[in-house]
Amino acid sequence: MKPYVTIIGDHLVHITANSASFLLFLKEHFPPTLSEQERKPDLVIRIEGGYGEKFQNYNVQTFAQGDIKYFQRSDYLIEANQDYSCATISVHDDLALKHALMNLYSSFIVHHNWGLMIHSSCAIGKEGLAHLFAGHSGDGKSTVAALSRPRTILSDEATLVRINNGQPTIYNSPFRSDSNAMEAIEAGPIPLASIQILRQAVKNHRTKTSKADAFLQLTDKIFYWRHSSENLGALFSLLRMLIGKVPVYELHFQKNDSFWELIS
Amino acid sequence: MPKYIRSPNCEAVHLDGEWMILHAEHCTVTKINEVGGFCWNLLHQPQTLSSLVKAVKTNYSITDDSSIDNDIQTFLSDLMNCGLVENAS
Repeated sequence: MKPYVTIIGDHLVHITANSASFLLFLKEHFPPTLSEQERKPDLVIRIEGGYGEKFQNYNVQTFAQGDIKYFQRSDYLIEANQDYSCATISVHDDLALKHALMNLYSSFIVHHNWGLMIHSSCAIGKEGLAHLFAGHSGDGKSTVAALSRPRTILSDEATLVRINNGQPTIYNSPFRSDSNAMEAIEAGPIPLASIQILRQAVKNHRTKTSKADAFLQLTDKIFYWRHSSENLGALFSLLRMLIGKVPVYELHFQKNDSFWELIS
Repeated sequence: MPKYIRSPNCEAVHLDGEWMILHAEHCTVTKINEVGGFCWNLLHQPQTLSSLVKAVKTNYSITDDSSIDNDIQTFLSDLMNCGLVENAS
């Protein structure tokens, strides 16, 4: 079976699926690539349908058998090799597929010390640099992304931050809620200039946080499903590197685009 | 007198004058102040309450007894509750 070929971050990903509807989902959300046919894939994924039941909650169980690592939720099961470069994902529906791919890819990039997937939106400012807006569900990530147009939106839910290669850079994220990665298909990796922790307010203001507070604030905004066989040393180390290189602010913002005057 | 020592799988990070203790197993991040960081450094070896109090008084040139004993006892209890320090046998 010919794989669907896409790039997530700077990783070449080959995906095969046993269902046309899953291929359609991939084509809608994961920009295809035609230029890397000769390169060895970084990540090989097989998708199978008919698994489990509809989404119940976000609880993911992890366990290992032999050399295989498992992540299990009511609507998906991931079976991955030791370095997450090869996996079979069994899913119930498209939502399960999206979350399972996020689960797998976040494990992959942390394991390889490449970077982090952060609960945030991200847009390119007028100076051509990326600015990230971190928050939990309901804090305003999607709102900020929508208010930031016509700036290019690199993410509105889960931002891909490469950390292991000098200045942290942002990659176009296919893991989105209200926008689509196709709109930023031309955006290469963009240097990250600032991180904002979102606070909705009646008046705009932005204050720089200490590095320790930035660490505390960002720790629980990283998408990471920790496998029982691993500790968090790599994740903490990546977060320290990020905070060491990029300033972090608390952004109190009104629901209009005037907060950008404080940023770029 | 009970002795205390750091729990395994903990790592302290010094960020711009503040200390964070990361517990890689429990997935927790705990912020402590400068004096806490000083005590944490000593806790790589078994320490009693009185040995910590004495070291803090010496290092910070504290002459009155005031509340240091209580503060350090509370600090140790908090770290025990967070799983960052354990009894040293």
